[in-house]
Amino acid sequence: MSSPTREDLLGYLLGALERREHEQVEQELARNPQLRQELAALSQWVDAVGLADAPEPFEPPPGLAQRTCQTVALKQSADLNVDAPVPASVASLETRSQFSLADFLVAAAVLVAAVSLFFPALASSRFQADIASCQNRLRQLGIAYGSYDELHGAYPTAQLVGNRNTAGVVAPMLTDAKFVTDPRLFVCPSSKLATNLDGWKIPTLDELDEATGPTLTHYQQTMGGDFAYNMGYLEGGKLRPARNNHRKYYAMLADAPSDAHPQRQTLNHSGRGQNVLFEDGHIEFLTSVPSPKLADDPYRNREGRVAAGIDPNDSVLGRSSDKPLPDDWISESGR
Amino acid sequence: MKATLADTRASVSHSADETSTDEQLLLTYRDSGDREVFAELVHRYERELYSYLRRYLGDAEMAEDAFQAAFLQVHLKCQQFEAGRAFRPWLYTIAINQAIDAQRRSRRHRMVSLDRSSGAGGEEVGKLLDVLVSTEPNPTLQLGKDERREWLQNTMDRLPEALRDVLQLVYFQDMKYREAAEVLNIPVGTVKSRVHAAVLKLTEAWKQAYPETP
Repeated sequence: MSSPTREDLLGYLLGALERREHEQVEQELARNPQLRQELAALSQWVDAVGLADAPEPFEPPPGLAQRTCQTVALKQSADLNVDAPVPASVASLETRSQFSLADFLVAAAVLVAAVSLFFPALASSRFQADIASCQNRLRQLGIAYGSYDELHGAYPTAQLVGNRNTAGVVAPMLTDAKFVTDPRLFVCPSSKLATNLDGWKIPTLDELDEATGPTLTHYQQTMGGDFAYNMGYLEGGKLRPARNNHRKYYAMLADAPSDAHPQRQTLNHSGRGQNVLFEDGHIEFLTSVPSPKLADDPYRNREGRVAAGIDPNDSVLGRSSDKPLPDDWISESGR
Repeated sequence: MKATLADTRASVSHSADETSTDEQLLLTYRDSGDREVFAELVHRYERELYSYLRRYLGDAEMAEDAFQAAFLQVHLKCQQFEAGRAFRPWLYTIAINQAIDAQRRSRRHRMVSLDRSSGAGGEEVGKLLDVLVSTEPNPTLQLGKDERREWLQNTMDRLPEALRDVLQLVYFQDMKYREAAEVLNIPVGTVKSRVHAAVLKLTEAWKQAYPETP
C-alpha cells in the first residue's frame, strides 16, 4: 500500500480493512505525523456522528431460527425429488431405482411423526413463540387504543344500536382513523384465520354503515378478526365507553372467546389459554377464565352475561359479533 | 474502534458443529442434507441477519419474512455454492435480493434522499477533509449515546441508497470493504469511495443539525 488514503483511514477506524492493510496503515501512521493528524480529525467526526459506537442490534423475534428451519424442512420434504438439495445417499438410491417417490414420502411422514413424538420441546417452543407473537399484536393494538383515547377522550367502542352495534366495530374504527394500518394486527398468528386470510377484510365504517342483510351479518361476524374488544358499560340506560384510568386488571383486549368452550375460553391457542391486555399496558396469558387473578370474568359482565359491563369497573370483552346490548335483553323489561 | 459483530456471532453458536466454518457447514449440508447442520447455520446468523434486514426494511414482519425467504434460497441454491467462496457475502447477497423483493411487494418507498442532486450518489466523493478543516475544537458531543444512535439511524435512513447500503454493511454488519464489495457486486474502490461519501454526508448533516458544535 502506498501512503494511505482517507478511505483507508476510514476503513481503519471502521475496522473495514483486511489484516494486512490494517498493519500497513499502522506502520505508516507510526512514521507520518501528518497522517496521524488527519486520522485524529477523521476520528473526531467518526466519533461525533456515532460511527465509533458499537451498533445496537435488533433482537430477532422468539423462535425465528426454528420457524425458518421448519419452513425449509417442509420445502425439503415436499420437493424431495424436484429442486431440493438431494442428499447424496438419496441421490444414489434414486439412480438405482430401488425406491419410489411414495417410499420417500412415507419416510418423510414417518420422520415428521418421529420428530413430533421425540421432540415435544419443539412443539412447546412453537407454542410459546405463537403466544409471544400474539402478545406483540395485542400490544400494538393497545397503543392504537391509547392514541384513539387521547384524540377522542374515550376508547373505541360499539354502539347500542345501528350497524355499529357489535364489538368488532373497533377494527374499522381504528383502521379508518389510521391508528392501525396493517389489518393483520387483528389476527392472532396461531388462529385458524391466520392460515388463510383470503376473503377476510375489515370494512370501512362507510361500508359497514351501508351494509344490509347477509353482508352486514358477515361484516359483524368477521371484522374484528381474532380478538375481543372492550364493550364499555351501561349507565342510566346509556352505553358508556371505558376511559383510561390505568387500572392494573381492567381488561381491554384479548383473544376472542368461543361459545364452543364452556367458560368461553378462546380457541386461538388450542384451548390452552388466552392473552389478555390490561389497561395499564401489561399482558398476561391466562390459562383459564375466570381467573383467580381477576376480579371479574373478562368475557362476561358481573351478571354473567355476554353484554356491556354494569358499572365502570366491570370490563367485558366481546368478540366481533358480540353486542353490548344483546337482542334478548331488548325484549326484557327495563333495559 | 467498535466491537465486532463476529464476537456476537460466535457467542450464539451453540450446536455440536460450532467449530466448523460457515462454508464447511454449507458444503456438508449440500452433500448430506443434514438438517441439524442447516439449523446451525440459521442459528449463527439469526441475530445478525435479522438485525440487518430489520434495519434495511424498517419493518419487523417484513424482516422476518425476508429472513426466512433468504434461508429458503440458501437451501435451494446450495448446489450452486462453490467451494472456496465465502458464505457470509453470498448469504447477504441473497438476503438483500429477498429484501428488495419484499419491498416491491409491499410497495414501500424509502424516505426522501438527503442528496437531492444525485440519485446514486456513490461516485460523488466530496472532500471530507475540507469539512474537517473548518472544525477546530472537539466536536464530541452534547448528545448522549442513545440520542446519537437515534440521530445516526434517522440520518442514515435519509442517505442516498447506494451510500446507505455500503455503510450498513461496513458499519452495522462489521464487514470488510472486500466483503461489502462482494455482497453488492461492485469494485472495492467503489465501496471505499461510497463509505467516504457517506461519512461526509453524515458530517454535513451533523453540522446542519448542530451548528453550535464546531
